Amino acid sequence: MKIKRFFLLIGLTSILSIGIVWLLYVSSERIMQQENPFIRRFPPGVVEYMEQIDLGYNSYYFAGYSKGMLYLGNYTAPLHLYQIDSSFQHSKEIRIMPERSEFSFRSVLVRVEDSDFFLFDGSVPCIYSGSVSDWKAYLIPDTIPYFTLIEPMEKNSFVLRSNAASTGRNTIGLLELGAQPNFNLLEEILLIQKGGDGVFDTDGFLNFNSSLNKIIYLYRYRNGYIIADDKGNVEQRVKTIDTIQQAQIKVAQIGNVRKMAAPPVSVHNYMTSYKHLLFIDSNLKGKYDSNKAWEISSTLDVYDLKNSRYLFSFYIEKYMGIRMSQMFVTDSHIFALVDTQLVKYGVKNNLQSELRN
Amino acid sequence: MKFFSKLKNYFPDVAAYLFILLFVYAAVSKLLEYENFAVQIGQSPLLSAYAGLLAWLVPALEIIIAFLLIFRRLQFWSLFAAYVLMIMFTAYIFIMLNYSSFLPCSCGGILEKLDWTEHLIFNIGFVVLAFIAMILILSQDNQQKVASKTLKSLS
Repeated sequence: MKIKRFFLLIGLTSILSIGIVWLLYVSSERIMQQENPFIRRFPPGVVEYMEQIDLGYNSYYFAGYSKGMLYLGNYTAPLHLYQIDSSFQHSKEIRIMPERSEFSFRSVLVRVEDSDFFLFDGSVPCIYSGSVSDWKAYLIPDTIPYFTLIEPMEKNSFVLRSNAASTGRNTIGLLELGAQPNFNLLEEILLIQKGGDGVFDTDGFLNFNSSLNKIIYLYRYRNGYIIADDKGNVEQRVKTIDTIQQAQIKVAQIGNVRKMAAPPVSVHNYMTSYKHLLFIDSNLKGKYDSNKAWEISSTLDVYDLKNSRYLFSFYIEKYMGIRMSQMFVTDSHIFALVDTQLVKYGVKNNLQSELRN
Repeated sequence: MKFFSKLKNYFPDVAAYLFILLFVYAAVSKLLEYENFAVQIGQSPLLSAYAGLLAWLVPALEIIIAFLLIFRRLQFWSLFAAYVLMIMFTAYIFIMLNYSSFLPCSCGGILEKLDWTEHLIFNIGFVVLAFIAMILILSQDNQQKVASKTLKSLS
C-alpha cells in the first residue's frame, strides 16, 4: 500500500469511528429519556447527607413547610404537630385546638400552607381550617364528601380521591368551598384496566403541584402517572421507567368484602413534587442497579414534569433496615422520614441546577 | 543510524506487544468484575442504553484484537483494528469530558485510577503508537517490494 493511500484510509476510518461513537451517544441519550428500558442513572453526589435527629416515633408525616419551619404531623397523635427549623436547632410541640371535637377522628391529616393550616378527616368526613398564629381550627360548615386522599389547591379548593357511590371505584374529585360550594367527580381521570376492580388497581398517590398548578396522580401498582390541570382536564398520561404495566394483584370477593388474594407487587412506594420535578420512590430494581445500594437504600427517580422525561435517580439510605416513608423537598434541602429519624440532605450538583431553573 | 534502523525494525513488534498487554489486561479486569462493569456502563451517560451489548462486546473485541496481534503477517491490519478501537475510546472520553454532566469510569483495573485528562493523554499516546507502527510496517513493505523488484530486474 502506498503511504498516500494509507493516510486517506486512516483519515476516513478515524472520522467514521468517531462518528459511530457520536451516534451511539446521541441515540443512547434519546432512548434513555424517551423510552427508557429501565436503566437508572445515578449521577454522583446529587444529595449529600447532612444530619439526622431522632423523633422517637415512626408515625410522623410531613404536614408542610412554611417560613423556614418544617411541620410534622403524627398519625397516632392526630392533633399534635412537631415544628422544627431547617437547621434542626429549634423545635417545639404544637397542639391544634379544634372548636368542636365531638367527632371521633379516625384518619386525620394536617396540612400547613403558608400561614394557614387545614385538618382533614375523610372518614368523618370533615375539614377544619385555621391560622398558624393561634392553631385554632374552625370547622368548615359545608357538606363534605367522604374521601380517602386530599390535597389543598388554591384557597378554598381541594382535589380529593373518593369512592364513587354507585360503583365504589376510586375517583378523583374537585371540591370547592366558600361562597359557591361545589363538588364534582371526574370519572375519566383514573383508568380501570382490563380485569381491574377500580379500587386496588387504581390505588395510588395524589399530589397538587402549586408552582405548575397541576394535579398529579401516581399509580401504586402500575408504571404510570397522570398530569391534569386544576380543572381536572387530563393533560398527559406518562409511563414511569418501571416495567410493570398491568397491576399484578389478585382480588378475591369474600361475601361483601374484597380482599387481596395474593401479595401485590408494588411499583411505587411514595411520590412528591417540587417545582417542575417529580420524585418517585420506586419499588423495582432497575436493569443495572447495584445490588448492594438497592439493599441499603430507597431509590428515588426524578422526572421533569414539564416534558415528562426521566432525569436521574438517587438513593436515600435506610435506617435499621427500614426504608424511607416520606420525603420533602425545598430549594436547598431534602428531608426524609426514615423510621424514627428525620434526615436532612443537602441538594447538590444536577439536582441543584435543576431546582435553580 | 544503525540504531535507528534497528529501532525501526523492532518498533512495530514492540507496539504490538504493548497493545496485547493493554487489551488483555483491560479485558480481563473487566470480565473479572463483569457485574460491576455492566453497572458502570449502565451509568455512563453515553452508552447507558447499550450497556447490555457493550458490556461483553468491548472486552470481546479487546481479546480478539490482542489475539490477532500475535501473528506477524496480520500485524498491519490488527494494529489498524487496535488503532480504530483506541480512536473510539478516545472519542468516548472526549465526548464525556465535554458533554456529560457526570463522569463514571469503566476501564477496569488500574486504568480506573487515572483521571480523565490523564486518560485522554494515555489514549492518544496509544493512538500515536499504532499510527507510527503502521507507517513503519508500510515503509518496510515498500522497501522490500522495491528491493525484490530491483532483484528481479537484475536477474
